[in-house]
Amino acid sequence: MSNNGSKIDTIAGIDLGTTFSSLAILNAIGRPEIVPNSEGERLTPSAIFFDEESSGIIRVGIEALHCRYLNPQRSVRWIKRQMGDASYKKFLDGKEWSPVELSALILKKLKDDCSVDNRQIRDVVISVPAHFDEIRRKATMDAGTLAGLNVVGIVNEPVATALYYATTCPVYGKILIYDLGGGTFDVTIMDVKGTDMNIICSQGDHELGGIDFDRKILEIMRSFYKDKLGAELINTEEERAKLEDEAEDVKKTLSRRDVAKQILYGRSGSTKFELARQVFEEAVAPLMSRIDILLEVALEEAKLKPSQIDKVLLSGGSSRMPIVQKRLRKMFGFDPDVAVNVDECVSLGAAIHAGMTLIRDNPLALSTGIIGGLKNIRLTDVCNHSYGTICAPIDKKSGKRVVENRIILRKNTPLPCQATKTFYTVAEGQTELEINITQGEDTAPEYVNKITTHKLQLPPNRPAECPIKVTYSYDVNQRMHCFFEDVQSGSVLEVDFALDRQGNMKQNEIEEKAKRFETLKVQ
Amino acid sequence: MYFEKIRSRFLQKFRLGSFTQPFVPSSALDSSVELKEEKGQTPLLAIKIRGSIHSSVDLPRTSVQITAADITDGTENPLPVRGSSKQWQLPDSLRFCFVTELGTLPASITTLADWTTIAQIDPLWLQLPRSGKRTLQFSISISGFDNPVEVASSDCVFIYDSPSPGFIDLHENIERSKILTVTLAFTVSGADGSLSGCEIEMIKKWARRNIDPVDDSDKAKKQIERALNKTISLLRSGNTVNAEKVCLEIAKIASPALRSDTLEFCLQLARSGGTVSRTKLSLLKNIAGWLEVDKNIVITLVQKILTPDICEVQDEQFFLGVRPDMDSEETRLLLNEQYKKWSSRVTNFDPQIRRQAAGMLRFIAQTRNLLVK
Repeated sequence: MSNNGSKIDTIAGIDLGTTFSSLAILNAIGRPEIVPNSEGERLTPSAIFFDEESSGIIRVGIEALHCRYLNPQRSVRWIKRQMGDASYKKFLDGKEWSPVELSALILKKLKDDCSVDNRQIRDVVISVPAHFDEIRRKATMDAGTLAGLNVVGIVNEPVATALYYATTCPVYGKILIYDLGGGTFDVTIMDVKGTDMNIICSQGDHELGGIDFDRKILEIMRSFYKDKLGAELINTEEERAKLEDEAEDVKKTLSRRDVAKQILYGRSGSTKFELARQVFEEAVAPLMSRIDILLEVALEEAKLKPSQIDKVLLSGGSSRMPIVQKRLRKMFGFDPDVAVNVDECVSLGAAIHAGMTLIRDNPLALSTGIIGGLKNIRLTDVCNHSYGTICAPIDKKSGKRVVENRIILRKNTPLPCQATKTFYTVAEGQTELEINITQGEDTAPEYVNKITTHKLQLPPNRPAECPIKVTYSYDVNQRMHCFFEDVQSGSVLEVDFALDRQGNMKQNEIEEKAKRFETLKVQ
Repeated sequence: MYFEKIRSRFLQKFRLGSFTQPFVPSSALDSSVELKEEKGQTPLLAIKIRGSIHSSVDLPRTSVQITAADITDGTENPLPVRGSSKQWQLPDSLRFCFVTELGTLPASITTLADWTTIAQIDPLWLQLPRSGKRTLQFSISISGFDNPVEVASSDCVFIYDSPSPGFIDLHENIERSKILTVTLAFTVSGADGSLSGCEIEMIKKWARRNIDPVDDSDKAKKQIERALNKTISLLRSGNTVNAEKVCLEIAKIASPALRSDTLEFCLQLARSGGTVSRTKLSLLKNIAGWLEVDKNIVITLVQKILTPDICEVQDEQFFLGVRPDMDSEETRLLLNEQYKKWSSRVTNFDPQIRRQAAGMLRFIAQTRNLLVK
């Protein structure tokens, strides 16, 4: 651990959640601990409020959550769902805020609140859903940098959960991690032998989380109110903001009781509202079907039957819903494990991951206590997506050239990995080759994302069908390297994967913005 | 429909000039063709010659070139016979040409007293202009390999019953199926009882782009416009089209690619209205079946063009391929496959694809909730 003036740099893991975020640090013996925020809470709501009365202050956390009833237009919630979306912008006081910048405000709040006494949060690992693509991962890293953090890595949320479980409880065998958070759902299957962990596969849905269950309750509330009083329950954004929280309360109550009761206040008067757990469970059945599908798809990919899963670990606050446990019991024949706090295990695991990353990259920066505490943990991750390139082979049926995406590195390949495929030039005298690196599982080019495009110059006066060797490799830091070689001439193009698409900032832009962020007052 | 009455008069495009017999005075060569059909073997056309060949010089290597023409309509109006691949074509032409070596010819008269087979041609090497019984004229020409002077030639006629459609048939079929596609499109457009202006424009645009006028003249182009307008007015005045009959004709004459193009256009047309009614969706589903488009292609096209949220009814069979005879387990596996496919598309850079993927995931989950126990 390096000494920076009177402050000591501390390694941390951050769970940047859709509804709540938290920060954990590694203590002197390499054990993760949650650091409460300035309000003394272990979880910080991922809510932002731009206070018009104190324009110099941006409120993040519980106060922002409460303030949004007063002025929803100046508040932001669930920004994680917009991460990486270049078209999303929040316009306030003549300034536009991107999802990266808004996420950076949440991270800054966590960092500032936890950098107290002689501690300074600097080297961090931030967790992301396993199914997040490269754009969203890079956006999350950029948000950390803007917040003044040194993001040493990104960890998949289920992996962080497994890391914490495996270092806390004895875990052996094929483990399924069921992570139903505020905004996203992930399922990961791992092979665990104590602290030796191999990821087998992950599946996820970025539009399936606690807030979708809340919205179902809100729908029921609205139609109940309309049936009862013949009027709309929600007429303004303020009313919506308040009722969204009430719906969440109803959901939480239904996790403890069979019936939740609430008084609904609307413009046409108030009415008593009761929601039975059974009715709620029927209403959310399509959402649960989505989860069931993802569980089955993950099991198929892992070539496992439910009976071959030894343990199901829960993560994410929404996994507390009784319907979750009931469905898991039905599918696997045993109860899921709830040995640790499902709200905190991701940030605690992310802190362990941060320690492991630094042991690998910069062991001198760590104390012997931390190294000793983490040295026995071994983790083999997988490629989160398939990566390929666009090519134009001749279709055997029609004899015509068809443009298609050809996968080179397949999703769920253990890291580090490398794969090579040979392609051929299409035209006589071709002097240039457009190279696209794609991410996605489809053959049809319109359904995959071209994450970067380059040109490879070729020698003139050559016939068609000259071989081009394409090699993709993916390292343990989840960085991709692409190597394109014209076999005959030896001409080479190397692409170290760096995102520069719109919505992902370039390094100098990040550094410039980070300086401005330092001056922002986030409370 | 009036529009269907248009008949392409492109046949003359294919006509060859009338034949003139080559004059090779000293040789007297006869030729004939025999169809050899042996059990379990590919049928072959055996080309035979007999008679005398007169060469004034020693020819250490000679070659024989066989070409063919279709003279079913008389030698005054011959139609070409094409080679099915470059190997069986004249240089820079599609016309059939078979060349083989014949050996040495001395500087004298060589007489072949008996019929001698000089080539065996697989009928699949030939592309005839039309199917059915065709009168083919084979032209045999013998010349030196290094000295291309012709030393003998002969023509013979053979009637061949071709089972496969000829290239003129195919061209006509393509043109005919395009016309039928337009008719079908009007049926889709009018499925809800009226023809909308934007859909009519879309059909007209498609017709202008895809239907070849008889020639490049304004008159020919106007003829298409007149046919389109006449069809519109007939439909508006209450006439109806039997969509099934139209589809069955397309299915009979069009290639699979053309049939899926027809379905694609009908789907695009249906989508252009913003919402797809129950009646229209049912018609589209029937069209896909009548056109005999491959089921996987139907699903790909439907998913690409329509989204469940714009349809009045959300049809699991049409959108996802869930058949009524599938049991719960088969349905579950199929839906999992579909979910996997769409799940990887929800992070697409294109917002329209993202929206479509989100809608499909919701629809798949709803379907599972309904059908999988």
